[in-house]
Amino acid sequence: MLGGEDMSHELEVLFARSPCLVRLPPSWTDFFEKTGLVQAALAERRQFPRINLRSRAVLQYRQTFPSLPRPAFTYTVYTKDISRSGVSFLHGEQLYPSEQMILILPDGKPRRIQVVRCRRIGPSCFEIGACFAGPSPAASEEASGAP
Amino acid sequence: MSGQVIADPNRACAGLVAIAVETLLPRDALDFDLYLWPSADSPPVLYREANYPLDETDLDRLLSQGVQTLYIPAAKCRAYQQYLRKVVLRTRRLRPTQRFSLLKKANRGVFESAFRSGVPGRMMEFAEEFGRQLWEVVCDRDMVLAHLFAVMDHDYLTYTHLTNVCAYSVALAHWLGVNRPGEIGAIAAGALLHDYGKRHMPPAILNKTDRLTPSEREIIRGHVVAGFTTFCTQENIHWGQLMMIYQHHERINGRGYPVGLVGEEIHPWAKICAIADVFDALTSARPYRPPDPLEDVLEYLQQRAGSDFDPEMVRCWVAKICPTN
Repeated sequence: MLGGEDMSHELEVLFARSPCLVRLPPSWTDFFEKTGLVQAALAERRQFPRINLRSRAVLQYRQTFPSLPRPAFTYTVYTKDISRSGVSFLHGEQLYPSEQMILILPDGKPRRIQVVRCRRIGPSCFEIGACFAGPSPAASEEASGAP
Repeated sequence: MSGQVIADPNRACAGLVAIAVETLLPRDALDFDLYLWPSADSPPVLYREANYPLDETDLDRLLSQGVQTLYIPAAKCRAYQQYLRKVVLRTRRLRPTQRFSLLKKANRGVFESAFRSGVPGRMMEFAEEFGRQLWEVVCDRDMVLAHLFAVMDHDYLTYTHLTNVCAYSVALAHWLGVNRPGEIGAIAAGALLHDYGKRHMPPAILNKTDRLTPSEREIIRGHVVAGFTTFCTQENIHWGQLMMIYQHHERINGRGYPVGLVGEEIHPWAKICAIADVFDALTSARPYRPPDPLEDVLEYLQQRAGSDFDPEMVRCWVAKICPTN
């Protein structure tokens, strides 16, 4: 349901408006080809299995820290894998633990995420691990009766 | 017994840890020897053996002579910390404001001793020129001090490490041309918080005498993120201070953590803090290892200039600490 490039027109428009800053490492030529379950390393103790989700998504910045200005820009990012509790993706800029943002996955639904970790892969390529942080903005607006 | 000069001053100097005279109570039998160390140029002198209590006259005399700090062997830090908890940190005898005021006074002595901790070269000149001013700047920041005292309660050696790294960071920043008092004060406060995340780490791991297991190493590495997430949402913290907490284990060749940043991606204050952090970690005594000689530590830094550390900063540090090098 989340995978593939079968996206709505609205999402395509959003991608077109959202620059992609990611530079994939030259050796990652098969990045978008990986599918299926992610093999967990022995040391990992994850609660839920992760599934490869090699696609594009839209990241909407949100202001989280008083000392780090985050204008409400949107960027195209590359998703890597997803589980029930979180998602990992590639972005061209460093994000910081506890930052809260919105991620619009290929199914078009915006989800609140909170950054857990960030690791530099190469120039303009950071792997971000984030957990889902509560209901998606649309769902919470419906629940609260917001227009 | 008192007045005995330690036979091997170099080894003994660095094997001692500063404690504040203000934290000692009269008539308490202490479980550790106390040393006087009036200047970095002379070796420390045994002042009072363990189990010989100080009386009011001794304490008054020390303070009236301007002696704010005494020194104890690093191996006895746990005993001192237990004593500190009993008489200051967790006693009901003191109201919170009294406790804070006493700790402030006590911290001043430990802080000043960080400037004359046996490091030769221009450190003493810097201490004389800036030590008092800097203390005033840091003393104004109750939030920083409150966190510092929380670390003192958790692990005394981490607390002395913070005060030392603070002194070294501001000295290096000053020598690199940072002169605005506001910026120097911000760097000082950032350095005092840089290892705050260790407050979330078990002291048994922090002071473990054996080699750390991979999982213990992972726990220790978590201190940078734990510290960052403690302060990142606060209004009154500078981004550079947060980066000192988050990035002081980054290395310019990308082999550091938590992100693996390279070169200019690392905040300059974090690069300063990284040098001060390693310098103090290697020159200070720990219960699990003796300190390294100063020459070896400077050589270690020089060998890693350009790979781990900013080469210009290392050049500056070595030139000032050891002008003949």
